[in-house]
Amino acid sequence: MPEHSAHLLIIDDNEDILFMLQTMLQMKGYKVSVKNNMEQLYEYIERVHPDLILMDMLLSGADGREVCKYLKSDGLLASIPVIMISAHPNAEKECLEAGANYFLGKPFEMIDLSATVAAAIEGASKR
Amino acid sequence: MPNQTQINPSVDQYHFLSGGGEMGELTRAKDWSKTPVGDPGIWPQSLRTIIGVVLNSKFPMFLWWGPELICFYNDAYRPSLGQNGKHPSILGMPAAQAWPEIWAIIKPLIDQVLAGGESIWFEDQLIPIYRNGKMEDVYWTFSYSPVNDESSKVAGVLVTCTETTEKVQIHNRIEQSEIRFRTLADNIPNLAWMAKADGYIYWYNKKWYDYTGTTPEQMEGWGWQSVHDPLKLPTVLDRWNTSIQNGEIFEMVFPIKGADGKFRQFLTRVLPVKDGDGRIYQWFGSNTDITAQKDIQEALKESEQRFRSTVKQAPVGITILRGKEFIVEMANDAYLQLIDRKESELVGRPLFDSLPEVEEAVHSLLDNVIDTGVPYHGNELPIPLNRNGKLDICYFDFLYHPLKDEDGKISGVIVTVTDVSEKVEVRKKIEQNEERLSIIVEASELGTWELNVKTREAKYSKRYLEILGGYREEIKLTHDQLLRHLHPDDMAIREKAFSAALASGYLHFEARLVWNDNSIHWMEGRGKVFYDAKNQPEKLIGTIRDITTEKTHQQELEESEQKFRLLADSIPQHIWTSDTEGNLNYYNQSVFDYSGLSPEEIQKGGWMQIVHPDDREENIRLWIESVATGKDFLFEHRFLRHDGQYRWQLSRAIPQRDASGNIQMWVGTSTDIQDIKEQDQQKDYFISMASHKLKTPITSIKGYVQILQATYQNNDDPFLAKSLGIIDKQVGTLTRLITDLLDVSKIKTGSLLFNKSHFNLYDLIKDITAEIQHIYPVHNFVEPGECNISVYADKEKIGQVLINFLTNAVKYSPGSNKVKVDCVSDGISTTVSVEDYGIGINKSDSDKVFERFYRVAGKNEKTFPGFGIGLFIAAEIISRHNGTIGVKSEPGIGSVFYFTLPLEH
Repeated sequence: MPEHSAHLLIIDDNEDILFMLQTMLQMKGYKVSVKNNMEQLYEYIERVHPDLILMDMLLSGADGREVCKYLKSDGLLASIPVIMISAHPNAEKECLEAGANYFLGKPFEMIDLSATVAAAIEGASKR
Repeated sequence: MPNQTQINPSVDQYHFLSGGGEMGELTRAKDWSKTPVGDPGIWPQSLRTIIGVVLNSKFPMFLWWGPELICFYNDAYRPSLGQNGKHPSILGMPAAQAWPEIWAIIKPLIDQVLAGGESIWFEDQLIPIYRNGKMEDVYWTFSYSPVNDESSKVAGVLVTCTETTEKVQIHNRIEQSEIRFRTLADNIPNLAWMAKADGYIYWYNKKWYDYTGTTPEQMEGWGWQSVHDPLKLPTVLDRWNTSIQNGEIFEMVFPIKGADGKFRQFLTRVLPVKDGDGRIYQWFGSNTDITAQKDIQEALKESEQRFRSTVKQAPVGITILRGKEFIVEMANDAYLQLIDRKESELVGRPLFDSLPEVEEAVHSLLDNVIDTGVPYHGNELPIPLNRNGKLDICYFDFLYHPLKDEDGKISGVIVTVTDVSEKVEVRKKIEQNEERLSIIVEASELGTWELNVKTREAKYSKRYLEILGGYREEIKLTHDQLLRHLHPDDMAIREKAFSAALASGYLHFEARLVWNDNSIHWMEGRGKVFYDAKNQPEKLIGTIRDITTEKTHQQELEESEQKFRLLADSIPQHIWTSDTEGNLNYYNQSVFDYSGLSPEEIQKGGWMQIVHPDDREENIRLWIESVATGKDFLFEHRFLRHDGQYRWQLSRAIPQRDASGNIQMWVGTSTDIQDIKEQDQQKDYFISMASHKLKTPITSIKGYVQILQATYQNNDDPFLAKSLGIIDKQVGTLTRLITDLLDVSKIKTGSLLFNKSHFNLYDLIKDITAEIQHIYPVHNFVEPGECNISVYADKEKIGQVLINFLTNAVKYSPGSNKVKVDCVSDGISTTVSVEDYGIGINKSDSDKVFERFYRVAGKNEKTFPGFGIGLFIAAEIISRHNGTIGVKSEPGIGSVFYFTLPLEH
């Protein structure tokens, strides 16, 4: 099993999806933190300061697009790559407009998830 | 090109084709053997007779003959056809071919006449015809009369017509100006008159008639000579003729006889009136009374001297005869010319020695003048005269005036004579034409009448009696007896029309008649008022026409129209009609109920006022396009309801065409589809939401299956591996179904987006085929040979189409394992096809398989899965790539589904 030093944060209010993503990415050797609610979200992100954020577009208590916009406007957090996930028909365009670096449409193959995550981390390290 | 004026010798021998000017020549020159009527040699007598009348008539006439209604017409008719139109090509042509543009109008009229119906008569009807290189609005007054053949069957239709376009257009204008002018001219203090360029006086003012005590009939033309002094007349004539010839102003003093028989001296001035080109087209004369200071008798004596010298040059024939032998003392040039004799053979000899042929006609008249001293006026007297080498009957106006010697004894006769042969000939022709006209009036089924306003004496034709009261015989009725046939309720209409006619000069009214058998009939009366010299109504001349059939038709039409309106008003859809220009001219009640607008408001503001502002531009564009091309109009737009709500309507309009395919009107309907549309939108919203909600649990299932597969990939348990494989495959199928459902709703809402890129189509075919092969390992997918086809398209969606074709091929071919994929290019586009050897599709179904939710139905294929929306999406995807999609299939043999894409250049 390959080892990655990268630290990923997954934000999703659907516990099943959250655990699935966590399992898949841990199988790929990433260090994974998860958050299933919006309480003190930004303080949490600042404290953890992950290498990548993976989050669903529609979250209970917050709109993923607003979260993304906030992160991209914050001097400290703007450099963290964001992958957004959604099943909504028009989500891709809106997520990318909100500043997300990548988008994954539900349902997806495991291979697509790991490829996207790898690309996002590589892209961020080159910057 | 054949010489049209060359006379066909075989036709020339037929005397019934003689005369008739240009049309006579064309008719003779025509090779009739090539037409359905055949060579004139075999024409029936009835056709010969009527052709003779038509060709020689000065009244415009047209004839349709035989079952094919072959066209004949005369010179008088010819101008109606204009330049660059039908003349002369329609001569001998069947009517339907000659008059396509008005065939729908005239065919029923012709049929009516052919069927033995009544003749038809219309006044000032608008019938547009093609001439002068375009369609022209032409007004006609015409009648259609049946022409019988030898077996008394109706074999042809005689059309007598006059074009009245100009009349209709300028009638009122001219009438106004005419009245103004006459009023003016009648009120000037001088005697005044107007003559044509040749000196023919056609108008005198009222003062002239008042002074001379004459009537217009007496005065017209050269009648003024009767109020002149006979001795002075030759000079006046001479001077006047000189003026006419040279176009010079005429100025002269001469006596004019008043109503009291006394002469007064008038200074007469006649000015030529010239047109734009300087040509004289009329003369305007005035006679001013300068009060006679000279004794008329003295003046006569003086002029006697001048007379002799001027007689010689006078343009009127003058000769002086002496004694009972009537020895010719002198004869002027005009006289010699008139009788075609030399002076030497005439002068000094008894008149009848030189002119034996006139003796019988005039000898006794001359004798009488000599014996009694009473002058003799001959008016249009027919005299046989041997001149120009043949004996002809000539017509003369002449005066035999006794000549007295100093003792007052009558010693001779002075003869003044004018040759009026030509005038009489012309008048005879006019009389003939009038006779023909009366035949036509008879044929056109008009009754004629004449009423003396003063005596109330009435004259009328046989047909008049027939129309008025159903009389079969001619009987003499008084005016009051005639009036009794008028329906009592319509008496007021008639009274009003007559009062109006006495003021306007024209009579027109429609009224009911009660026949002797008490049946009710309709008539139309027209007439013209004639006035006497004092401008008082003198008589009325007019026609009456039986319009019962028209009126009945009109009533039936009104009833039928009423029925249609009731029907249209009770239909819940909006119904409207438009003219050929696209102007809406009728709306049913539903439109007013829906919009809350009154008919006046819709009429004033147009129907666009209720169309949603966002829909107007496209609405107008499509409507104009439909009106211009004649294609059906189909459009979805929103109409404003009376409560302020815009509701969606599906509007459709179809052109109504006549027998020759010309659009007559448009009939449109608008159906409220708001509720259907809302339901559709709700359904699409539901599908979109449901698909979205389904995707999250599927993501979970798919994800965990993949984790399990990854975790246990090296496990030995074959059941676990197979189970996970099946779950993964089925989740894949479910995912595609959901994607399809979502795509359908995207197509419906117009939000299906394309992400186009350049790629090699062959590579995509290979990848997709491999993927499907993986899912259906038992099937044999035959791939195309390697090729390089570059397209610019949405790779994923084109892949989706191909997957759909391939999975359908597997689904619908239970008995076969072979599926053949092919790809060919023709340089412009590339065609990808998927061929199976399955159950196939009926022809009737093959057009429908690309419709939404359509599935091939039948006992054999009920068990196959799928929503049947894959092909609908495929069709949408291909059409959005400007490609085509289709299927060729034979039941029991198999199907070939294909799509084409434009190639990149």
